[in-house]
Amino acid sequence: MTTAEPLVGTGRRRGGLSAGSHLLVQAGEYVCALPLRSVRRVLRALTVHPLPGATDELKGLAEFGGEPLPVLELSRLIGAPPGAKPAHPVTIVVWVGPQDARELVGLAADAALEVSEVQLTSVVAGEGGFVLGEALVDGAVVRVVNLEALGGDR
Amino acid sequence: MDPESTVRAGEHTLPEWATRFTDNALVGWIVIVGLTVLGFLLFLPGAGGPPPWPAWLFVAIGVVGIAAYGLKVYPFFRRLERRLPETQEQWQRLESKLIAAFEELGAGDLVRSNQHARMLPDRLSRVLLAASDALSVLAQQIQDSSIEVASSADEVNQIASDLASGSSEQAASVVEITAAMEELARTASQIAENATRQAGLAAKAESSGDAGAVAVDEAVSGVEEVQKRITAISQRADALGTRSKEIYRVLELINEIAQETHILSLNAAIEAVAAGADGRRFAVVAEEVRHLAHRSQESVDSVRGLLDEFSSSIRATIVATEEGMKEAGRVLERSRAASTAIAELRLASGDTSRVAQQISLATQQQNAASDEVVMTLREVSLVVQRMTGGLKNLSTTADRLNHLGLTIQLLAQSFHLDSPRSLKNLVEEWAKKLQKAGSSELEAQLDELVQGAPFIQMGYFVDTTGFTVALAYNRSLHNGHQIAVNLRELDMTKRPWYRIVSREKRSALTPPYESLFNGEKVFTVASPILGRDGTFMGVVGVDINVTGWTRI
Amino acid sequence: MSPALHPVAQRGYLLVRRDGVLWGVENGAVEGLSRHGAQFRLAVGGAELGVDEVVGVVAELAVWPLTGALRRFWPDTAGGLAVHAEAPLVIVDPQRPPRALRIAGSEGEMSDGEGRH
Repeated sequence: MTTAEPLVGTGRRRGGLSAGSHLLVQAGEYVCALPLRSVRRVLRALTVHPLPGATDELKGLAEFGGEPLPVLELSRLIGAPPGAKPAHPVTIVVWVGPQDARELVGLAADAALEVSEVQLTSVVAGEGGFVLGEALVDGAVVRVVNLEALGGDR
Repeated sequence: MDPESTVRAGEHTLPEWATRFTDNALVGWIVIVGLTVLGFLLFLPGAGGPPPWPAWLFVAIGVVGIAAYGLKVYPFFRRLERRLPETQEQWQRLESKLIAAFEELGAGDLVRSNQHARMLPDRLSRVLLAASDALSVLAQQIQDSSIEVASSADEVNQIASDLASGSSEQAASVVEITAAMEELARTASQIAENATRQAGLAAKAESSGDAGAVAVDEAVSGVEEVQKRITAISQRADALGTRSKEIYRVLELINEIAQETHILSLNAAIEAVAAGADGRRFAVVAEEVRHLAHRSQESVDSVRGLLDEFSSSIRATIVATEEGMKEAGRVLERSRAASTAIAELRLASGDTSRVAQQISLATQQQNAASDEVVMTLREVSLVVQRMTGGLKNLSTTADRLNHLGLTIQLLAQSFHLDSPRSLKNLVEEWAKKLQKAGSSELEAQLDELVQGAPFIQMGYFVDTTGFTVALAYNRSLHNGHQIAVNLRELDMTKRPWYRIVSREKRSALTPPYESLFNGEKVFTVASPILGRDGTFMGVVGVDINVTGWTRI
Repeated sequence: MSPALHPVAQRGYLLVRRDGVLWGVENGAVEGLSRHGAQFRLAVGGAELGVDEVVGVVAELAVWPLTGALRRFWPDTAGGLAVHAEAPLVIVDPQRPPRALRIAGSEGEMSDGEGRH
């Protein structure tokens, strides 16, 4: 297994992907870490149709693989301050909810950055909600998203 | 009639008509007697015969004639002889009255003449009065005519004076116009000189304009060439800008591809995770792909950076060329405007030169015309002078006419008419009034009379010693004239009017003379003041200025 | 296919649009369709719904149930989700028509936002 030299701004790499592999995405001013095992697909931003009466977190409905896909605004979910207008917005299709009742949901983000290792033991617990905690990746603070909390009813 | 003929009335001289009658009757008697005798003798028969009837006829006629003479002629002659002295007295009285009337008439005193004429027999009185009235009317007409002549002469004089004044003004105007024309001629000459200088300057400007036009044309050509070069540069810059846009599009495409590649690498990593241990090599490949995408992205960013600089330079070049184009356009426009202005200047210079020549020519013509005008004005001046001389003659003639009118008036006034315009009548009336006034009222009365006669300059009453008892002058005519002498200190008995009046005891009119009062020409009308008994008490006189006699 | 979602085949749907969102109503549930000015009125389940556009009718639609995540952030009632011509649409529950399609003042059962499928 080759180890690619880390590039500037990229995450630490060691010995390929592991259970700690996370997809780092930009959501507003925050960098979020999504567990790679829960990530279904990274796509260019999907066309979203807003639903009347929806909360701010729900951006709307999109079509993914012939199936309807609800798309949530990741920055609103984690309470990130809004950033500059993204040049290449993406939709991350993820599995949410508990393992036995996973649902596909799309997360609208400003950019998909890289795959990086985030040691779960280094995650500092957050205030709850959809943020599992914070960790340092290459000296930058990332917020680890709790995808399991997204699925199902409260 | 000779007044001495009445003296002979005392000698019982028969009137002529009576003498003629008696002489004719005597002759007739003699003829009859002679014819009777002659006839008798002629018709006497020769010897003892009876006389024929013609003889008896002659006798009868003779007898009748003698009887008639004795019955009619002789008594008539006796009666005539008895009435002759009375008739002669009557005739003498009539003669004296008639003589008096004619004397007064001869003296020009128609009033007294009429008084005497009224005492004459009716027919004689009527005839004489009629003649006197005719003469009075004639005298008054002459007075009126003389006044008209004098008034007309005054009008002519006034007109002549006005014309003379107008001529003077005209002459003055001619002088002014002449001076103005001469000034105009001088100004025209200066204008001609200036025009000539202007023509020279215009010619110089024209030649300078030619050189300037050539230079401007060359400049315009150069600017146009520069403009073309700048346009070419601008076009090349535009082409470079277009190419850079295409490069931007390619870069964007590469960027998209890099982005897709990046996403693809991420998805590969995801699949690798899903594949578990079998996906590790795939994960490495995915990572390499992601790096490739990243490098592509970096290259794109680098190229974009260079392209941005290039585009910025291109834009700056384009801006510079546009500015250069604008500036070249402005320079070209200014050059063309300068060329146009120079062309116009050349035209204007040519026009100026022609106009200057025209001005010079026109000025010469104007000078000639001014000279003609000056000559004409001089001729006009001569005419005006002649006219002024003629007007002076006219004025002199008018003065003579005025004098003639005065002379005629004085001739007419020499008659004493029963008319308010007869001065003698007027003064005699005054004399009667003054005769009745008391000594203390004399001056007041005289003053009242003088103020009431606007044509009388002064009135006075001089007693028998020559002392001026009363004196009054017309205040409306006096006008503050200086009194030449105190009249009351003079002995008026030496004055001609006093001498005539005191001698003749009748009104008198003097010819014009210089007044002692104010030194002006006056004539005097004087009348005696007689007492109730006809005693000479003094003379009342009035002075009338010759300039105001037409107010009579 | 995700294990949490099950397609359910239905017969004939009327497709309508309201505020840019595509809705599908089972043909049998449509009680009436009328034009009302610029809008259309749809009588469904005793309620009168207002739509901007009647898109068309499809014979079949693959219907997925509403996911928990969706219900969490969208409290309205619906019969499911589907896709037609690569566009997502919401299936109308004829027994509980969504508030988003109701007309103000119209009769009909009001959902409490916890529609269950």
